[in-house]
Amino acid sequence: MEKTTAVVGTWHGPLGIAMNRLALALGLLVILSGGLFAGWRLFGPQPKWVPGTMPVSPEIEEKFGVRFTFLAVTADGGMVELRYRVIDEGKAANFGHYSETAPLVISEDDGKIIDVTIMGLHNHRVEPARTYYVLYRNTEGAIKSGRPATIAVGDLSLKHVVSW
Amino acid sequence: MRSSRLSRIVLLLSLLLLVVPRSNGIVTAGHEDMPPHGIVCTENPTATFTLTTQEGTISLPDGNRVYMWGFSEGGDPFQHPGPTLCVTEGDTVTIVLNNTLSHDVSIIFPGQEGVLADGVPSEPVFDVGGNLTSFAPVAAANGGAVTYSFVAAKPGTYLYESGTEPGIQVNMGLFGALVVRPAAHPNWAYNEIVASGAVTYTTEFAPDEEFVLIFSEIDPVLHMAVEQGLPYDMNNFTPRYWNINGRSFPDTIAPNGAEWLPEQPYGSLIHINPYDVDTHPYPALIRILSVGSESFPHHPHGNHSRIIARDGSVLIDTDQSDLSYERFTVNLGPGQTVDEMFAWTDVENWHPIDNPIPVVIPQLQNLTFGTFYSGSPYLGQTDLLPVGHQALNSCGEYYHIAHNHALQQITAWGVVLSGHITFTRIDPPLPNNCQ
Amino acid sequence: MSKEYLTREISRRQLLKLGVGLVGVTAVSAVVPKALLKPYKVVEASPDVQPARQTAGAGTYRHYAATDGWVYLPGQNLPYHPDNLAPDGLTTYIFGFRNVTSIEDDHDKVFQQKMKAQLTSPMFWLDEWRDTASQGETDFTLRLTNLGLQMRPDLIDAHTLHFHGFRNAIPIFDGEPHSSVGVPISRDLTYFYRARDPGTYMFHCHFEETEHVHMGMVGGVFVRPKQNYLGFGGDPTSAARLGGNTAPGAPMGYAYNDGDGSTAYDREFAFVVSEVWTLAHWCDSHVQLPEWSDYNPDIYMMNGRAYPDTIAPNGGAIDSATGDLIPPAGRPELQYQPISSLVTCNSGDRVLLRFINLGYVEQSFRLTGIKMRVVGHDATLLRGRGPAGNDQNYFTDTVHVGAGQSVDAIFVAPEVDTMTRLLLFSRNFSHLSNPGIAGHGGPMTEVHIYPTSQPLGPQNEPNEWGL
Repeated sequence: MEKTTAVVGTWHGPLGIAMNRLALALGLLVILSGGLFAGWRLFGPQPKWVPGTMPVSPEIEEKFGVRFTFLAVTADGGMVELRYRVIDEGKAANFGHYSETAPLVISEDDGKIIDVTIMGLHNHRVEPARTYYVLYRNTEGAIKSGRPATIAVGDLSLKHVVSW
Repeated sequence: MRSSRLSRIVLLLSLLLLVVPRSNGIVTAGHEDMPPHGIVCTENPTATFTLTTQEGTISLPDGNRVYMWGFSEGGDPFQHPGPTLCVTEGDTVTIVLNNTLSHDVSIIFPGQEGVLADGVPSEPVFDVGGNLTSFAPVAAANGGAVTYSFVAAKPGTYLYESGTEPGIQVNMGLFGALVVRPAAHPNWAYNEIVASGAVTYTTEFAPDEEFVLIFSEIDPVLHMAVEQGLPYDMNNFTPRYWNINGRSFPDTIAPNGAEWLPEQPYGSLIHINPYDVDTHPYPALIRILSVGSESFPHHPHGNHSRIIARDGSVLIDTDQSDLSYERFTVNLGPGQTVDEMFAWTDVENWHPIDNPIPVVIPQLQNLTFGTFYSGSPYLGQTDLLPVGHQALNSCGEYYHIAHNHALQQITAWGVVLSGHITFTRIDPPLPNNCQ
Repeated sequence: MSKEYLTREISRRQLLKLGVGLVGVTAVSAVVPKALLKPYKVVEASPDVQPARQTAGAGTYRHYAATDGWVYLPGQNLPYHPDNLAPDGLTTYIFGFRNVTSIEDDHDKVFQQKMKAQLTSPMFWLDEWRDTASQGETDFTLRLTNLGLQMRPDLIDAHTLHFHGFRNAIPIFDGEPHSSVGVPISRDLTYFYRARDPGTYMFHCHFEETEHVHMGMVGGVFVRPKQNYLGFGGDPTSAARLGGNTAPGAPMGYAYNDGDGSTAYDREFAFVVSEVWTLAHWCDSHVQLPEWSDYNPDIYMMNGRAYPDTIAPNGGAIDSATGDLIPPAGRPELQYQPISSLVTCNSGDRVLLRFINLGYVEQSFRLTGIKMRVVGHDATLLRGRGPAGNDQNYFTDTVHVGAGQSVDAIFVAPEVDTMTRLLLFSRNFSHLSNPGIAGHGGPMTEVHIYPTSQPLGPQNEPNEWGL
């Protein structure tokens, strides 16, 4: 059973720090007035998936030293590109080189998995703050732009990534 | 200051509710009317264009963004490279240059004759001391304008690029492609017909397989200096990024108008169908241009290219005999353009049952992850594979890399397998189930 | 054309992804299918059968091994050259190929060639496809075994063999690992080639290509035209010696199916041109990586040697007891650089020069004293299309060959009374020295023309001297 990845705990942006108290008040107001809409959003038939959505996973960053930054369908639908930024070059050195460190992408619509890489993950020496990529064959068009996918690596996963 | 978990959740919920309603259909960066691959023409019936200089940034696959200058059509926001201007042989082309930059800018049109600037011949500009200040009359900094015009007399593939401080300004992004189509044959690259005995050859190409690839390079130190208004010594010019159509691999194979590349609208995936005498008899036309400072030896895997023209001049002798030639590597000089025809066919007609490839391909599960993939070796065919692995691409298509063979230039400042790389995608023979 | 740009898009996207992520945690996880992370497709894997050695005649099969090794290059550029980790007498860490065909039945012997790569790689050649029923086997297979990198056990790099320029290639045999397959350590893969287009090609590893090509995994490959066997103009007596014609005066071969004998030659020499950036090679042996955009080679080579070593004898024979390369006579330090670039010929010989550039910079090769006739570029006869294809060959004294290109040029050796020397060299004079030492160096070789009174022996392989 894969771990569930918490996504709320990593919001450290300047906006979050500066606006906490104002946002608390404003947010409560918005929640009250928007409650009906929220109910529709959360329990309605289909969430609105926004292309380019990329949650973050502290667990993956802690274990593998990388942060996924980008998922897109490319090559006229024939390939999928996944990018990650190196947070900790020591932990990221073997990222992708063994089955237990290799990311794969799973369609949340039907569970189709893509894991056959076309390019990427060759370089053992990675540098911090640099972004690297992996290209996959988009087998049977499994990953679709604007649809949710899960990135799984080892026993961790990052859900609700929405591909460009 | 750390916020409490509750307040963060409330904050995030509120942001969600504020934002999501606005997201409906708005997170598209335009360009949705572009074809996913191939040439994206900017054209109009009067062959009149307004090119406005803009500043902006582009993204590179290593995560960096670089400050750029660019030409945009009319009031469009910054884009890189400039729009591909498509006109027809014989058109009088009018280009109004509006300059918003803090530097003088001009445009030169290599390969065009009789270019006028504000109605008089476009000539080099000298200051009162006799020093060359620009290759052509300028649109002055901060709002100046100049109008260039010329008759597009000869079909072909041409550059347009800055003629002022060109070492700086072209590297900053002030360039684009100009395509002149034959008046009588829009699906031919040129009018000429090669004769070889009783056999003739035209430059007709498959209309949905026309591509433009502009090869460029970027020295980020130059761009930083320009952005900060600092001097830059061209003797220190050291490119670190190498782009095709303003993108570095793997962005090169993203579609035209990719939403995540709003400033870099042009892809360079060469998406073709295999040659077939009945269903697909014409080759792709690939128009290759270089704005680099040295030769870029471009090597498409999979097949030779037939070079049919250089610098807008078709390769034919005065007696109609053939001067075109085939190459597996096209060594493109600085400022050159080359038109090449490319086709591919499965000459052996490999088939998993009727004509299998005569060697055994080892399978994935015995091998180190990721480095010994063997899907189906057959075009348009699936295959048995180990548990959890899947062989079929979206439609069983083939991919061949196409790249600069100066291999230090297929990198991006420390990231390998980037830079001057794109792919040729070959779909199964028509009709197929590719989407 | 509508172009709607959202210049503040990035910040909104940041908010959106947080928003959607929260929705995911609170509610939408129920949407995720149960099948997540379970195999989508369960099928039986095909058994991994090792390809059998081809039983066809000689010249249709090779077995290459990919590994690392050390070579000797002249000069000094401290601290990178000579490399302080190099074995005695050697200077430079490389990756490369070896031909292990003759020892392949002894698995241990093959794997003892780990750390014994050669620079440049052994060339190979194959015949253009002919009707095999009547004219013998022409399909060619090349088995590639990855022995691993002795100096860099940390690297699990695969290797491949890319037949650069092969027409209408299919990805599985193209050797570009990303769209087909790479060969992991201790594994092998057999490539299949049915060559339909004669000419001068090249091969190289395409895995981590910027590094692996620069480290030396480069070589030449030719496809010999069927005109060698069939002759031209319907006249079988015009067949070449390579096609079995033993008649006196028959040429050794033809470069292309020219149809008129215009690419006939009597001797052939191939030059794989490449470079060494000693810093990059030092980095590889010291577990470092260079910044490739600083590319600044300091040794330029022909067939993996810098002048004057270019004119040292050929090596390349295999010691059947050990499987090791036997060094060229008197030059133990060139054990792993077996290919000589010295051109030897008799007056009147038509000499084919195959220029192959697998460096990263373009080169111009000048032959002093006589003209060369360029007959082919990039494995293509210089002739227009069709039944009346016009001749496009040309004479020059300087052959320009870009990175990743090949050029075929033929010269006719002039009449001489005594052995006469000409120089053949890169016209980029800044390449013609070896680092840190005086004198001439780099990509230069000599052409030795012998009078007809001193006939040379026939070549069994390209670049043989016949002395």
